[in-house]
Amino acid sequence: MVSPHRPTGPEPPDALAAAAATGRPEAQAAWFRAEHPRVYRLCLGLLADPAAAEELAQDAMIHLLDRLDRRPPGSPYPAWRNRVVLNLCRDQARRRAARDRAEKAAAGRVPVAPPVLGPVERASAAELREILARTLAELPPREREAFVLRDLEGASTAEASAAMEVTAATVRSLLTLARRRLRRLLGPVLETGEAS
Amino acid sequence: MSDDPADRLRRAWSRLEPPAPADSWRDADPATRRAVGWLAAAWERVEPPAPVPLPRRRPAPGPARPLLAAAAVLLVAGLGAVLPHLLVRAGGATEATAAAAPPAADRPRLIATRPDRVELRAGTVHLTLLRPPAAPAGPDPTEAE
Repeated sequence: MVSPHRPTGPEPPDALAAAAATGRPEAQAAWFRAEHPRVYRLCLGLLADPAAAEELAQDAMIHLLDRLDRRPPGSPYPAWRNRVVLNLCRDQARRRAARDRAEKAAAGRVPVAPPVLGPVERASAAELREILARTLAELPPREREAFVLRDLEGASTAEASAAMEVTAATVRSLLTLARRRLRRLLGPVLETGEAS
Repeated sequence: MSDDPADRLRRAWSRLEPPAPADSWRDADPATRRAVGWLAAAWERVEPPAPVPLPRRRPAPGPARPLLAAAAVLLVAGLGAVLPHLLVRAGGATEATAAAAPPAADRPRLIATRPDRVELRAGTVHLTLLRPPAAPAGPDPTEAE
């Protein structure tokens, strides 16, 4: 598992961020290359919408870059980044919910189901992205946040609770609910897949 | 190939090798480990759809901006007041041009400078330059840090 807490390359995220904060273009480029996939994954996991995640990841990268030099001293970069991206995703989800409500009211009907994937989207990477997003979309927002931060991003319970602004006990409780829901959702399919 | 979501999920699952269980879910029951493991494997392989260029860093808005705007306004206003005199001195102006130079009392005067506005007065003309208010957006995501 790719974790922000374990360095995956020659430079850990904290060092990359510190170098990028100096404003040197090559350091910013290195930070961007390392961070963009991570920020995209976070957006995808938290929003459960590939198209929205792609757009928001761009905005989040600019947002983070603008604030790298104003990061609270002593705060580990991955925890700070997770918190900023989580807040941006919550804002986006609120705006989307308001828009959906307005559109629903205007159309006077419930939203239609997402369309069946086309041939291009059926490519492996896109399919994986889509399935992951649809699976995570089955979780209520707070459970999804706890699951993405803790089980997928590898944040500690304390870091996840700080980012979500809830207690550690709440994170544990949300995590239990999320896992139970995912087990019910994926269990039958994965057992069959394993047997075949 | 079937487009049934369950079939697609099975196919996608068969292509992935789950990672070693992380500390957070190592001790979960086998069904949970399988579900979380598959999602963790998918998570690890997800990349952004297309590489994107490094965005240009935007200059942070600072208190210098209103002052710069005020300085620019004063420069333009000052030039407007002084230019006719310079033209007369250079001998390139007619009587009429010289007469058009504003009297000293009509020259622009700085009335007030505030963070959101600069006010100038020239004779009976009162000019107020406003800085547009910030867009009504949600709370700054970094505020809770």
